[in-house]
Amino acid sequence: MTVTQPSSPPAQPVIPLIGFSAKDKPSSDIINTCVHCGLCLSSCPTYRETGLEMASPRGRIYLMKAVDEGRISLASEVFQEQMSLCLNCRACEAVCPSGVQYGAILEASRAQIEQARAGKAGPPATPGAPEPKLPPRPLWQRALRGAVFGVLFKRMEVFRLFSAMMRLYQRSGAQWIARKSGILKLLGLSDTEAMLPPISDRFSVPQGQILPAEGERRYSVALLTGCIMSTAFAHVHEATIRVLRKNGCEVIIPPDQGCCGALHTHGGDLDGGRELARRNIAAFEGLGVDAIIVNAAGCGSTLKEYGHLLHDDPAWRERAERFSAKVKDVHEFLAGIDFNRSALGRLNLTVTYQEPCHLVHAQRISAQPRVLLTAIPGLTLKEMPESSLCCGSAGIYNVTQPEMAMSLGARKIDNALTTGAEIIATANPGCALQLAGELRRRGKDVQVRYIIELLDESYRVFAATP
Amino acid sequence: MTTVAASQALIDELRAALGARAVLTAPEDLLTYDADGSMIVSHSPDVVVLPETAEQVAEAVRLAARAGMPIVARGAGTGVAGGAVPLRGGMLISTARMDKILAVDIRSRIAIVQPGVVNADLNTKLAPLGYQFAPDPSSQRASTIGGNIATNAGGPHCLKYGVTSNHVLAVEVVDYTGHRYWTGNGVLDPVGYDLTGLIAGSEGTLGVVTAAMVRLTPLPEAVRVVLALFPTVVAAAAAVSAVIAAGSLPTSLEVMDHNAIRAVNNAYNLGLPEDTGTTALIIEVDGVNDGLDDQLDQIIAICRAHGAFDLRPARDPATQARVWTARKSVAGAIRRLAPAYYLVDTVVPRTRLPLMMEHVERLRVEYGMEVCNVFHAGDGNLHPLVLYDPRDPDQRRRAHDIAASVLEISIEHGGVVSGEHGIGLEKCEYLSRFFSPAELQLHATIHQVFNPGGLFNPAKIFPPDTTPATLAAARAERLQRCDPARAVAAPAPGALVAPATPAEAAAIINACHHAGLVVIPTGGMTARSATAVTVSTANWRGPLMYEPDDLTIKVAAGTTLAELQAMLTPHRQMLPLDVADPQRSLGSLVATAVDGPRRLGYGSFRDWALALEVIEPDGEQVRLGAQVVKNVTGYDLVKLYVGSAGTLGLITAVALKVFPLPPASATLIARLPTVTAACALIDALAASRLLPTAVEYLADADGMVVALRAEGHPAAVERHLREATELAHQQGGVVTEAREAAETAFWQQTVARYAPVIDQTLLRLSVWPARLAAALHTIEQAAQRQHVAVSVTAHALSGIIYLQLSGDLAAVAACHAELFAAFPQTRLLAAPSGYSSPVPVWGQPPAAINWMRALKVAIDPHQRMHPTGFWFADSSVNIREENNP
Repeated sequence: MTVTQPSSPPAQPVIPLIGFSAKDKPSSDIINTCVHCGLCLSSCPTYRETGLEMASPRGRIYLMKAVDEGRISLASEVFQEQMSLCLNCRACEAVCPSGVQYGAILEASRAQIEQARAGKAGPPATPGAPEPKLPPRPLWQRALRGAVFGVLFKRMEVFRLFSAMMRLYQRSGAQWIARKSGILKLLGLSDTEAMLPPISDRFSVPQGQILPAEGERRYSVALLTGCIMSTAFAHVHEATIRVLRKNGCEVIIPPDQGCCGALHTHGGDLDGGRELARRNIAAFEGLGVDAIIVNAAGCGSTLKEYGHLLHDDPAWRERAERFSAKVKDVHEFLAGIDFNRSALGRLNLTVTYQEPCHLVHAQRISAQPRVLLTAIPGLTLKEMPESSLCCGSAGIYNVTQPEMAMSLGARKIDNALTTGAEIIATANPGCALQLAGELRRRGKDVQVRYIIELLDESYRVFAATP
Repeated sequence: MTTVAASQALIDELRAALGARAVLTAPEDLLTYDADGSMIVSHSPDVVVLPETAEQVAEAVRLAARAGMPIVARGAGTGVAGGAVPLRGGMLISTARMDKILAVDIRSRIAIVQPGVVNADLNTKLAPLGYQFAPDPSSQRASTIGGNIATNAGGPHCLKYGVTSNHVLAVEVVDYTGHRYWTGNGVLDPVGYDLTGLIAGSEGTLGVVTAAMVRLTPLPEAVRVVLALFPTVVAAAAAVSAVIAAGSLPTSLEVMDHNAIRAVNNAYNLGLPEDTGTTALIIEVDGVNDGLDDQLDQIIAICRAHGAFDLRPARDPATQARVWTARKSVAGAIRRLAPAYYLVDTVVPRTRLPLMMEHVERLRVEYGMEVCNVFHAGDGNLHPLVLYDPRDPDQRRRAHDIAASVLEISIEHGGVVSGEHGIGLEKCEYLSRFFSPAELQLHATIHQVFNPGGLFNPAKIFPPDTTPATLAAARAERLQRCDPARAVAAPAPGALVAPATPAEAAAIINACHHAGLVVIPTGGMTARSATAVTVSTANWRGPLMYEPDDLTIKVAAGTTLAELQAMLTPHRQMLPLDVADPQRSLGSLVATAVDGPRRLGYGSFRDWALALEVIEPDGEQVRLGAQVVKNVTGYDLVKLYVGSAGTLGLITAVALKVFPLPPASATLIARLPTVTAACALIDALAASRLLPTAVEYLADADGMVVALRAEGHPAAVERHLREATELAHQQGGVVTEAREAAETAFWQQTVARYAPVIDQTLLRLSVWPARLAAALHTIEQAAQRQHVAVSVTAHALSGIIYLQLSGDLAAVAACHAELFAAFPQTRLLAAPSGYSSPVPVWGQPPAAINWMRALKVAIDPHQRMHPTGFWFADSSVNIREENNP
């Protein structure tokens, strides 16, 4: 405290720098909650990989603070690159002693960049500052974002059609031809293509189905079918429904629900995310269920944060909070209701568990998945090192930051393979694809399964045992 | 010094040397490196480099030094004293990419790591092997080993395990010219100055650490934690003293007041009451399972008796982990209470804690500021966190004033400026309140040896109103003045003087300085040279400061070990040191860093010496360290002077850590049929969960013996004997047990085997413990070849071997030479008259000999203090004389 100097600005600006706009501005209060202690560093995947302070949560918050205080520009390449390089895995949030809500300010910072690029930023947060306007993204990026955020994940019938075409591509031999011909490599798409999930034979289409509980009805729950889970992973939904019914749950699948909006909120399209949130709230509220069950970690954490997403919308805020309060991750739910252990059959498997970030960090659910796994007779859980370090999937991160995604994926598989497990269990579609892609690349005969699938299998083994 | 901007040429060279992705220059990148965990002061570097290897660090330092650019090393930037802030700009070296564990030798209990290895990562890696790196600063989840070394970090568990420097065996350093050197090779007590101890805690001002050999500690078999709630902080502090007085040494005694509880309660789901006054005391004990519950029950009873109203034992690891995570997160969680905090990091003698708490409370009311207290009560390390809002200048001022007052009061009561976080730039203004001008000058002199251009971490540690160069110049000038007129009082050459007080000794040494006479310190009453003046401390003895509850004692340097033990025994305390001649003085024992078999369980003088009073070569009296158990106020000069063999000054007083007498002690003596069987038993003991305080190997014509000493709770001692007996039987051993008088007698005989006795040739060599068996084999062969009888005594798990050689002198010399060739650190401790050593008496000079020589020259420019010590001059002094007390 002997010398007190302000943080020295890198260059003395002649004219004020471009700052945040008032709309969806990262909260200064949250930014200033960070005391710069640095305890988050070692939990951050991008810091672990790069060793760079600005690629750490503390460094990114420091950059946000610098933009917020007008010391660097929103146009700064370093700022934009770091906001993009973050996986939003929120491991830092889980370890932060001061409880900094990092996800909220990261998503807002990304929204700032996207609004400014789209020319929709509105007035600056600091009166007199230049208009928050950035050069637009290249045309192809705009087109892609528009198609993905604006159409594909907003309209489930389009998404299902797209998925059906993907299935056709995979089953018809076109995939074989594309892979063998080398055209994918030529187009630089081979890594991306390798990530494509094998699409299920059947889709889960929400049509207001009501599936009765097995035995006495103890709970009434609703299931979020989502986007990719309802096509690529429809079989996981089926397993989830069977497990829930086995545990005395009546399962309702309300119509009109859709994508949770995680990709939008994480990608800086907060308004797109809000639109989807409103639709889901309307679809689920009024069902009178005990819980809204989600079996994908990323969707679960997004649904639980609708309250925050819509907190500036007086018409929806309270409805969103009520909705979020009902959302339960399926593992969280089962572990909390004294689940049926007596009908579990033997599975002689060695399993390691890869913790989805949006389960362990965003929802702080870490013990429950292990409780379910270890309840299965015959199953051995072998913990991998760094089980809660992000696998590098992170939504569309594979596409935006392929290099970092690849190296984190490799790190994850290295860690998983040290256990000698034959199955990597997880609970999120992004992780499942990332892990399977890396295993396929290495030609490893290790399966990736959802925990709920293993539980379902165990129940089925029991039922089939005379 | 002004900032030297990074020229494009320099940037290009750095890129060429380190690779483009290892050099950052974008202003926004640089700005994220402008502060550490404190955020009190910020300043951007001009360039950041991220080397991956020591060679790259050396190259970067060379380039920056050539450009005259400041060089600041940074680990994770979690420090809270501004130590890693590049206040003068320049090049910041981030060690984040130097995160490799280079080697782990479990049998030797040594790991070699790069400085960027995260403390918790090292521990995660070691845990499955049954080991730990014991220092556990609250930041350990993110902070690096390099950073821990730079600040000599402590942590809740250092009450039992000691601070970082107690766990660092050697470091590799890049000097200001860009050359690399190791301060040691990993063996214990290398001969010469303890540069490792000096570098630890030097906050990056003496060089850049590029690798470290660290000591590994066995993970205890069992841990018990209890969280006790007291109605007041003072009641908790009283309970701490009572627990210690009762004779058990917990691994930690941590206090959190109601504000600290409020900060972490919800985040970590602790469910503690938050009423004003409520204070939580976290007590942890560890060790073997046997007797641990009983120990915990005793502690619980003591807490009850001192008003604890709620006691919550945490028996399972998950609950224990939650309690510790919460405790370690207090500083980070403060944001839940206030926008900023000012951390006071002072250590006082433990018994002054309640008094300090009263002062803190008074100041809190006086200044109208909220203070959060969280501290390492067992160590007397207070951390009042003054809460304030940095946007309010008045609050800033008041926070600063409270902190200043607390430090002032602390210093008055024997406290220090910083216990474990370092001085950095945040606390340098307090340094001149703690040190005398001569003491500051001595620090600066050392700074100038390693950092003459002031490029390493400038503007740190030293008071802001001066510079190390100025201070060092003042000292040099002081030592230059030799005035024959003031030499009148000098004794005649060859005289032995035994002054009654340090002041008298100082006057004599001052006179010798002016007369140009060489001074040789001694604890005995024999003149050690015909041409020099021998100054004895023999008439200067007795306790100077002893508060039993502090578990520390300060005695006059002439006090004998026997006298010291006699002072401690009535209070059921001890210094766990066994030597053949208990009439040796403490000053002499410390100056020669004598160790004993129990160093395995308790350490040695490098771990126990807290403060020394020393007379400098010109008679100036200085005080090094402080009589508190943790201290990073300035350089750790105590370590430098321990084992310095009288070459830097005359030690006049010694403050030591002492230990409670264990409730029980016993020794198992196993007689083994072969060396191989003995070594197999030693291996088995090393691999077991046992925590003996000594494992000694004895071999001579009569056969092989492995002796194991266990101390502690009676049940734990019995467990050790039981299990060790079983292991000995597996190797065909025949065991006997020694207790009470028989035990004392056994250890007396054992240490007598390597007492420097006239007409014996005594050698000492040290190896990595894993190489003990191989070393014993080499020794046996050399002895056989040269027809020399050898008696071996070894601190088996520490790798220290003593050899008594007997036979024809020429044969002994040949054997000595052969052993020297195999073990260059072989040191001759004693020899019969007429023995002519074929090799250097102190062993092969170490790699860092030139730094040692430079230190010697800087501190004693006229070579007045025992100039023939170590390798500094050809030995003209009789070897036997040299090494006798």
